[in-house]
Amino acid sequence: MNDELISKKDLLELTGISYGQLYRWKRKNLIPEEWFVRKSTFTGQETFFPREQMLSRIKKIQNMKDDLSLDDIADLLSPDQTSFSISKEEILKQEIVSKYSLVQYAAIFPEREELSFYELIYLHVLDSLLVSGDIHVDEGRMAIEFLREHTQLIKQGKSRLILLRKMGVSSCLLLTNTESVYADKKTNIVFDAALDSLAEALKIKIQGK
Amino acid sequence: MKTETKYPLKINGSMTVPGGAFTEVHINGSGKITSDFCCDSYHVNGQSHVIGNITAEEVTVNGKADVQGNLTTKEIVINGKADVTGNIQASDIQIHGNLNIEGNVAADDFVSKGKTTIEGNCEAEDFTSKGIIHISKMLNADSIEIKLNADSYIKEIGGEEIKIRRESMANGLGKLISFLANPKSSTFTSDLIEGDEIYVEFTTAEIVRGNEVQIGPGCTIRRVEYRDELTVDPSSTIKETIQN
Repeated sequence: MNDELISKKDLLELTGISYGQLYRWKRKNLIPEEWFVRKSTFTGQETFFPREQMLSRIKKIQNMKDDLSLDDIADLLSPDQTSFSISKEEILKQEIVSKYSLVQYAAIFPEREELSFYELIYLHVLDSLLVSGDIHVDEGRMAIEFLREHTQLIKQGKSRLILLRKMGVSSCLLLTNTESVYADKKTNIVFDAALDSLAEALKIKIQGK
Repeated sequence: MKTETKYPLKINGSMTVPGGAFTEVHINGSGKITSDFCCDSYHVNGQSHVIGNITAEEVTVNGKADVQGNLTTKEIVINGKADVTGNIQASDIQIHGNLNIEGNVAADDFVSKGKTTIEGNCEAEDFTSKGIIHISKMLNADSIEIKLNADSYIKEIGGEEIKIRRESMANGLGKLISFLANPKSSTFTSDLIEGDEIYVEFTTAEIVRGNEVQIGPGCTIRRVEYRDELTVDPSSTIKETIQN
């Protein structure tokens, strides 16, 4: 476990940020509280961070901070996005997903003209599934309907979607707070994605347009 | 859309009322509000007891205010005494009297010239204390200025610019305060002080960590870690010094 953590001192040295910046970002919730891991070392108590997550988060903040205010970045990084909606035309115009995926999505939920942020994530999942060619339309439909039923759970963040297939039969799993998943030899993990990072990527994509 | 008409609430004698939405709330006698309420302004001149959360544009306490819940406001001025069991969120906090908080505090501008006790964390952009300060968890602020008038304690401090010094006795009022509070013996105690620029005086700390660290007179520090610069007053003792 130790090699996955980075001490605060090493982090500041590696990224070149200052104590002031680190504390400011913590205050603005750009860095989640639970990433601050306290451990006792031979020199007393020290703070550590999950190495990969922290480094990629800092890189992201450094890239964005020239164009956006810290509050805007905090909005982008927060898993809760209730006040967002986008029309189908806009989705096509911004080329967020392929037209085929949108048609498929519209066939499943014909009543929706405007999509909420979460629906956009589901659409994005459907799109990446279909484009990769790993699944057929029925499986995609199953996954999307499944996700939509569990929007409340997804809103809390840290959830992960896994699509399994064994001897031609497929099933969906929604996991929260997981480290790793193992499947037996005959079971194929067709799709495995952390919904939070998908959401982040999506937000940055929309913001970038 | 149906809009609710809001009325002012004035308690001049002794009264117990439920919460709701108000324009102005004045408590001049003794008032008890038994549930959540929101208002434009909340003034306490007498004694008040609120069981519930308060959302107000501005809060002024000249008497005594007890809040069993959270307090969310833009501006809060405490000239008397306030006890809050929950959290406080505000843009501007000014304390001239006495404030006790069992939860956390988040503010942009925090100025305490009286006595402030925070059992949780305190977050602010600018933090100034010129009286007695006690924070049981962590203080996280951009710029931190603490002028010691009496013994103070903050478990952990993190920020950009941190200055801790004894109140200078330059003006008459300072002299008077120092005569009453006896600043000669006032010291500051902390487990960890971490920032980019640090100046401390009369401070006892486990670890001081920063880029430019100045240790003034009267300090006892177990370990100082610095990157660029360190100056130490000869009257201070440091057990261990590390340059990163």
